[in-house]
Amino acid sequence: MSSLRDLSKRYGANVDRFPHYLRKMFEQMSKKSQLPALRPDARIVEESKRFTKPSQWKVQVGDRVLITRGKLSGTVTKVAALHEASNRIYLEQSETRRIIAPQAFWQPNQDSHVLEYPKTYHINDVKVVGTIVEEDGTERDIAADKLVFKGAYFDQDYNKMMPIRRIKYNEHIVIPWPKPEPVEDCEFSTPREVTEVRTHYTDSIVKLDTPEGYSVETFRNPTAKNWSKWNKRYLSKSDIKKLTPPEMPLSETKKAMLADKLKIKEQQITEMSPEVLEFIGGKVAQHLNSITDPNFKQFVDANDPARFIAKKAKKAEEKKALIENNKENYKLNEIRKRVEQKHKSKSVKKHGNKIW
Amino acid sequence: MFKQQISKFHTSAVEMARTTSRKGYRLSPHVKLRKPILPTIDNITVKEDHPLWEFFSNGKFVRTGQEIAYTGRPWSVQELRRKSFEDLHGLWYVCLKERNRLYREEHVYEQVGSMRSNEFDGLSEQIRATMWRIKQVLTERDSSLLRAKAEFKADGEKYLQEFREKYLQEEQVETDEWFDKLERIQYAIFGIPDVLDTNIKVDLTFLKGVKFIGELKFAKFAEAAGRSDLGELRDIAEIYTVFEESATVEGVQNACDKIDEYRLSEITIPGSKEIQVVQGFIDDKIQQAQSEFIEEAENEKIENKSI
Amino acid sequence: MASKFRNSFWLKENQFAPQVFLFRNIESGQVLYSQLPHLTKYQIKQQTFRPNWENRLPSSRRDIWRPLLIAQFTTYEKAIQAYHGLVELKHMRMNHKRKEANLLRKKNEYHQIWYSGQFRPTYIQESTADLSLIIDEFKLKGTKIYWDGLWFKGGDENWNSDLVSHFEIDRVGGRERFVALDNIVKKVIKLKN
Repeated sequence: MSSLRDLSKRYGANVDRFPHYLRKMFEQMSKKSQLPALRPDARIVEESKRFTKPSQWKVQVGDRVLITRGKLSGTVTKVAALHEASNRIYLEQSETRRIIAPQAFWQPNQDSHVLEYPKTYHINDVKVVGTIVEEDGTERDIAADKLVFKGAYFDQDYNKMMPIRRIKYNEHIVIPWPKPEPVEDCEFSTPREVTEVRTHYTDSIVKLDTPEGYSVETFRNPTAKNWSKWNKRYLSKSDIKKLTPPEMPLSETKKAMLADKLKIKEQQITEMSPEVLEFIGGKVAQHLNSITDPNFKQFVDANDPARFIAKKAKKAEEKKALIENNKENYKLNEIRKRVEQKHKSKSVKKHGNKIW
Repeated sequence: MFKQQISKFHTSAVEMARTTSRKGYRLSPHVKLRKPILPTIDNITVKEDHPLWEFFSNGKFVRTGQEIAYTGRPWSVQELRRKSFEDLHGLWYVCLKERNRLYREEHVYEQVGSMRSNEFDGLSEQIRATMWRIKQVLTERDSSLLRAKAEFKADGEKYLQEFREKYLQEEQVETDEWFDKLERIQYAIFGIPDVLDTNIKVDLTFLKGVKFIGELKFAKFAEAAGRSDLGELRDIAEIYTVFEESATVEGVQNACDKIDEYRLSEITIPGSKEIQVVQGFIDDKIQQAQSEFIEEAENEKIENKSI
Repeated sequence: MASKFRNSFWLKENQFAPQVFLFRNIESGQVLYSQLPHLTKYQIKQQTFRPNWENRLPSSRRDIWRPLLIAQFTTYEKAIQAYHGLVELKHMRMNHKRKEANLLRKKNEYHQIWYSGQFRPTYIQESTADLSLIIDEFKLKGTKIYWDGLWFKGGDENWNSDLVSHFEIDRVGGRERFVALDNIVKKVIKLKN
């Protein structure tokens, strides 16, 4: 099922492999084919160039940022979402574009086709806002012109290592990452306590905790394709054919040897001896007699060769009889023809030849 | 063409039906055709333990997008390294079954041209990551075992020699710490478990371990037990008797008493039969333990009955 | 044996039961009727009227014909009557009542009876409808139908429960298929004797 379905994935044209100008053309074509409402406002980035690290994004959901470009430049707002496909971000308060949404995409309580949809922002069009505490205790907002990431720590909320975000040239000022919304376990997740239990200890160089007969080779594909073409573990017939050099013309001694071999081959027995035949027959009969499945037994009985042999013999007999019968008929016919001919010739003599 | 069809129609079945004069035998030519009967699954009952249910999640035809929404991530290699083979084996099959379910549902959505099939494919890829990581961990374990064996071949003898010297030089070795050490080295290097069971097969490594431990104990405690008159242990049977006893003065004394009895018989075991003999000793021991267990169990039964 | 029409005396003499066998083609969904638990070219020739691109002349390959059901009647005469009726109804559906039959069929979004490739599920559904019609028309009381999978039976409202009772036969593989059919015949003969 899956192999057939994945055919297009495997052999179909992969747009990512095309040169950039062709890729652009295909992108434009696919853009044209979509409804205007569903077209993205920014270019989709190819997968290898998408951001994966927080240091690439520079912001996370919940960060306060200052917009520095467009109609809303100067406003401080929050990051609403990261648009991973285009490496851009959505802001809570942002410029919008008017789209005409088909009814299938309407939100609850929507009553018009016209919809104001937020635009995405590039990372360089915003500045991260942090707060610093003055000596007298008052708090002041600052916007970071440039950021550097130096050092890393384990963040309990993100549950992973996060780089420390500092302001460039003032690296003592750290802008902490916003606190993400807690994630609840889904149906597929394993409880943390279970994952943390250690059940494997290496305590011997003689054996592992694996069952008998186990080896890593059992879960490897011996004919896997990722084995090098020049370092195959199992050679197929065609491989052997490719790897063996063509044969040289035969020498006189070799010809003599082959003739000898042929002679030996001719001398060998080709027909089965009655003992061997009996042995094999006995084995087959033993198997057929020991069948327990009643349906299969009936099937075997119905296909008894003795029945077919009798049928065949009967047919042959009938054929023979038919041939003999035909012979008799042929003779009779000949006599009849002769008699008719005689009779005809008599009548011809009587009336004379007629000419039409 | 037309003629041929007419002749075909006059097959004996139809012909017979037409020519029969009995009333009500033939269908009326004006009979009203019936609507084709659509098959229904209501007529079919499937067993609850039918093996194909494994391809369905809770007996559902397909899950919705919400039901397969996930917030987690695949198991990391670091997490899997802590798990025993049994756990990994179990996890592999949990993953495999879930992927099969997802594949089926994905196919169903794809047949009707729904984009939802991508969501199922996404989760399936996540599970696949766990599965290749399991293979990775098992491969790591295998190669580390091979490397450890190769390393032990190079300087294992030296390590054993050092351990032997330390053990002999230590004044007080009848402590829990040293008992544990002996137990550990016996299992780590020679694969001899503390408790013998039925599936133990004696091989050269096992034999080596028996010799090492047995000779070590004898060298340490022979003088203290006052049995330096025995000299060196002569064959594997004598070594095994020392190996079997505890690593204490009393243990070695007991073993020496047995060796005295054994030497009276004046048998010596050749090197070629050592494995066979040790296997025999172990089998005897296990049989003895089993028969004792059965006796005790029967005794308990009788007691219970009498009560 | 099944290579020509067999009358009730022949069936009785040769130890066959008063039954009609329906076979379905697993490739195309076509159905053939037979008096005996076997199929030959005779049935194909007899029951294929005006073959066309979506109702082709089926092949006689043994492995693509599976039993659909076995209809068992109380007397040999009734079995013959039902067999005649089924063949004639099939003829009607293919010939002079072709348009009427086509209106009754379930259609897909393109108003066709396609399903997948050459498979047309409608032929099986029509033949089961024909059988129910015949039982009602001739009032064949005491009919027993042995289904190879009750799925094909459809809803109970299609069958007159006073006349028919339904059973399911054991599912067997391709090799023992005809053995299982033979067994059903033998069972009936035994009960009669």
